[in-house]
Amino acid sequence: MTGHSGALMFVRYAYPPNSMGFCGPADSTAFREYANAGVVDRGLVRLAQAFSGAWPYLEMIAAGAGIPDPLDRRVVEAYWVGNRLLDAMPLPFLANTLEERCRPRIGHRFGWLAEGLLAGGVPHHSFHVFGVYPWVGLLGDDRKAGHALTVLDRCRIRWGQVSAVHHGQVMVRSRPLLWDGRTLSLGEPQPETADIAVETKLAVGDWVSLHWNWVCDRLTGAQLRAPRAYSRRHLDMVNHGVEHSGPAAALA
Amino acid sequence: MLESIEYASRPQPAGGALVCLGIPARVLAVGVDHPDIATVDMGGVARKINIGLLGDEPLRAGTWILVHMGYALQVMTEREARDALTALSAEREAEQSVLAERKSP
Repeated sequence: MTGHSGALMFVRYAYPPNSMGFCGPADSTAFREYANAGVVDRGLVRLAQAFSGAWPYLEMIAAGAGIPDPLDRRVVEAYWVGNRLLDAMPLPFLANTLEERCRPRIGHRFGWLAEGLLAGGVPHHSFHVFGVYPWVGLLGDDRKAGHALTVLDRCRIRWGQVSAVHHGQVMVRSRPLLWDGRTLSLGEPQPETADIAVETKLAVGDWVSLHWNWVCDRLTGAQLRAPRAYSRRHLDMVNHGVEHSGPAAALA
Repeated sequence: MLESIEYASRPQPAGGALVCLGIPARVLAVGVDHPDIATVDMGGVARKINIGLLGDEPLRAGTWILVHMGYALQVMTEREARDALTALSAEREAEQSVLAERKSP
């Protein structure tokens, strides 16, 4: 066990979409206050389990790593930021676990999701964003591509360097997601303004993680390398490694 | 303390992958604030969502739609929506059952 830090870390990353009503429990303010207060109890665990997108991945990573607590910091970090736990997951375990969860709903199209795993996908948030959510498939529709690119860019965990700090907000330079009609890539760093999801002391030059329009956390050097690497892996997966955009087809 | 909380395995209902594709919602009103914005009932909570990705077919109050990340992705039949909501409900009931078991002595 690594104490409470994993649960509180989960709040930092899950709060942004929760605050916009995209996932998780209805009361996002109460959810965030757990992190600001540094409190972890059964109530927070119940709120975390309400994230029906993220929670199964935490369970999957914990089970695959032999860690009993899905809110162990190592597990939470693996899913949102990335760490060595992900590369220790045996492919058959990942495939079987994903199949249990997805095949009953999407039938034979599960095979298209499995293509992502065979192309090197691991249970990182960027796998879910690029390989499971329907938005990559919608890039092929000119009428929807702009919205789809925006959702993909804001939904993934980004990283950026702080260039200015104001009250509750920071200026950050981060690399935007680009779509040229054939492939997804990252552009040159651009400035943006982001709110701070949970109280965090930040200084100019710090590297931070971002989710939607929020700063999630300050990143260490090792943590900074992880989202870069896993994002690149899953961008390569959708650009070159899979034949189908299965999730989008599942909507048809 | 978190260390004292045990995590039982959750049952895996048929709707376990629903989050891959979105959440059903019922349209309450369309175009009040903006032509591309609709107010929907999503699990009993009224939310504003963007309907700009749907086709040109007019959307009416009462229509079921599939919502993901604040956007309506497709129109659903009532049966499709009810089936999906039933699956989601089963998942939530399973969660509550697990939690109740944990609370009992």
